[in-house]
Amino acid sequence: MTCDDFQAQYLARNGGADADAHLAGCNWCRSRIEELDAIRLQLEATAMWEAPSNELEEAVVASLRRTRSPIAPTNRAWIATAVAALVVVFAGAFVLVQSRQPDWDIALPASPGIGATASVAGWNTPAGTRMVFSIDGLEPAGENEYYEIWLTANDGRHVSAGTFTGSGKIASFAGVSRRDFPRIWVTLEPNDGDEGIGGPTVLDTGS
Amino acid sequence: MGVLNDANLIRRFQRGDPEAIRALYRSYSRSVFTVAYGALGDRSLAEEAVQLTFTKAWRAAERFDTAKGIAPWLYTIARRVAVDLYRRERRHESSELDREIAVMPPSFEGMWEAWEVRGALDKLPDDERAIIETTHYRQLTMTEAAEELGIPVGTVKSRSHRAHRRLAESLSHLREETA
Repeated sequence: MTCDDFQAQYLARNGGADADAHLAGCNWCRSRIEELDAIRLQLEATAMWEAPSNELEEAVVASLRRTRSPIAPTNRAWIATAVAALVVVFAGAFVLVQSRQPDWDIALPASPGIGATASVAGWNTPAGTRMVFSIDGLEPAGENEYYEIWLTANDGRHVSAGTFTGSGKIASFAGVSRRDFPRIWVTLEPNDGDEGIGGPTVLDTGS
Repeated sequence: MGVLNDANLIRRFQRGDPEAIRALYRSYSRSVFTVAYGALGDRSLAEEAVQLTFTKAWRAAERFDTAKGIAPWLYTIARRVAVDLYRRERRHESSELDREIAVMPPSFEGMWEAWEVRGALDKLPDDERAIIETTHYRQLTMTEAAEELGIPVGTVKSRSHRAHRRLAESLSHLREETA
């Protein structure tokens, strides 16, 4: 009898003379007895055979998607560059896919001193808000900067809806409804390791 | 799941990739639920623990060390969540004196073993896991299991041996970790 066979039999509570003889002569298997007993106890526990409800999966996934991505700002700048390139490339496709007219289309006024014009079209979906930003004349973000889109609720809570690095068509999604988060604004964030809103506002619908 | 896959998954999780969120949940939610249910003894509290664990993991994802595996990291979060929930519930039902002398109950022992055993069980083929469930959890004999599952006793025995071998092998690291 091999050690593997003995341990399988012991775990299955299938004893016998062969198993006893193996155990008597095998230090390795004797050293595992306590652990195998613990495993057997676990296998008899109700908790081992229960699972969370299917509804919980949807609740957890939806909840996490509604909150801001936890990615470190130090990593965000290069991702922003990649994402910006992607969203510009795919914005046309996004608009085509989003065939129905937007539920709203509003101006996104530039802050004083910012020579840009911008608007944002939005679609209200059960999972949140899809948006396409049309931005012209916004200076490209510097090497250690990136633009970040924010949605803010009347009580001051805010969520990030993505980052980009310059003008163009930018597709974005936030896992919240615009009814609850009416203010849409864009800041120029320094890549300084601070996750919070730390840069100047460049575009803002106002509250 | 290997370290490389863990690193890829957690990077996508950190970026908020919905598929990664779901993949991480599907890989580990049952293990989180098992340790929480075993420790707290209450299904709804265990579900709350699952939700809290993944929320805390989400918030802490940027600090995840990709050189280590996801499982020990998530387990640590899950255990802390279970302890917090236990203490919260105790505050509702215990006296001041009870709180001062409170220690964690025996149900909190063996949580890592429970996590690992659940993980090993989830990796078994469905037919082998069914044998383990009927013979260990439901305490059926081989003959009863054969009737229950509608298969010959010989098949139950061979599947049982395969399943137990697989379990013993995949859990062999527990001895070193708990020693």
